[in-house]
Amino acid sequence: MGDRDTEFAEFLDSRAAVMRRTAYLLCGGDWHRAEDLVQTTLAKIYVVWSRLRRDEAIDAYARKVMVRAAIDESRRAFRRREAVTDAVPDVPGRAPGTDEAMDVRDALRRLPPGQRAVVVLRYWEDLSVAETAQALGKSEGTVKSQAAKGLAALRDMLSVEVAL
Amino acid sequence: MSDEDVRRLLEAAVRHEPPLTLDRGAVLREGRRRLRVRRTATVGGTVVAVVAVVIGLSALSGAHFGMPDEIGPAQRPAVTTTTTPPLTRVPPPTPAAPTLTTTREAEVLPPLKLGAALRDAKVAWPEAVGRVGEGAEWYAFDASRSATFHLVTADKARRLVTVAVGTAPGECPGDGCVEYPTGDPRTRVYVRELPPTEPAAPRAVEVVALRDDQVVVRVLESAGFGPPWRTEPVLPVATLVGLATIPEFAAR
Repeated sequence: MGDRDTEFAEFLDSRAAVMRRTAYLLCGGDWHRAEDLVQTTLAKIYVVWSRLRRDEAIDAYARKVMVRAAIDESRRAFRRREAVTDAVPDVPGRAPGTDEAMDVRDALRRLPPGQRAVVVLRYWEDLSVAETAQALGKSEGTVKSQAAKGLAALRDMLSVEVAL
Repeated sequence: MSDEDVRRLLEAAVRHEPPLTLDRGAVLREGRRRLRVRRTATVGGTVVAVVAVVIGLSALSGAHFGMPDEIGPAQRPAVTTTTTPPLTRVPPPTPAAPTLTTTREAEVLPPLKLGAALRDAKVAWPEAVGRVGEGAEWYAFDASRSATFHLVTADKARRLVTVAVGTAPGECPGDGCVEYPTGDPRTRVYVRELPPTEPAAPRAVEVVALRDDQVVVRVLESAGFGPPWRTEPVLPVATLVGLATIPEFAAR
């Protein structure tokens, strides 16, 4: 394995789990899709690894690639893979807190992809408005507007006892 | 809903996380595949662009050659005194393996460094031949790692030179290519004369250097935007080869 592959593999091992959590939220709560999204993102990072390593902008680039890939996939009319449905299969013996997690996941899934991405980047990745705008390629005004709409929609969808 | 509320909800959503099953090998394979596609597309795009320019110029110049009164530059005495038929110095074809053995991964330099390498290269330029860029210094490379400049002779006639640097698996670039001996086992150089679109169309010569680090340099001399253009090449093949084999074009 060459230097490039070795360094990239180290990056993959250290960030894959964190990236998958962000991808999971961006996908609206599907671990399989999240893992696919992470794999796609990592493959794109591999292509420009030399430049990213020099610029030390790996995380920002990874975030940008992943969020845009997630939005693109969400907007496709026909997905080649199975779609996520509202019907949740029976799961025996839920762990404590599972209901709340499912509620949040369902609420996230119902958000438009752009709003969902803004909420995830602002409140999960803790990015500023400017950084979120840069990652999404949108204006700061749009980010503020979508964040407000996304939060309002989450508030409406989640029950009072869960949300507040 | 406060910011903290939102963060708490998002944390709740990822709380029951299954084990990571990401296949590191699959990621690397997919990454390498994308890298190959990208490199092929880069060099392929450059070649297509260069060929398109050549065909376009040849067609344009050929139309002029169809009108004998307008054939000026190629008939002037200065042409015969300054021009050496380049392919006469090309050695006969030698049996060549179709591909190079690559030893390490290529790293193409950014345009500024490529430009500096071209500017400072120890290349035997013919005397009394000027080099003029197109809206920039003659040695300036654009974002696609391509530099285009005009060769201007004393009679103001022009030729066009394009130097493109990219990466790709090494192989003979097309029909009619002749291997040029460089004495450097790490670099294989091919020379070929592009077939003219019409009998009197300007001649174009292409040199392709395939290096063992997968960096590919293509140098094309063709007719300039004319008139006044020059039909015959100005640069000897050795100079074109010198341009194609500038060592600083790759970070070895």
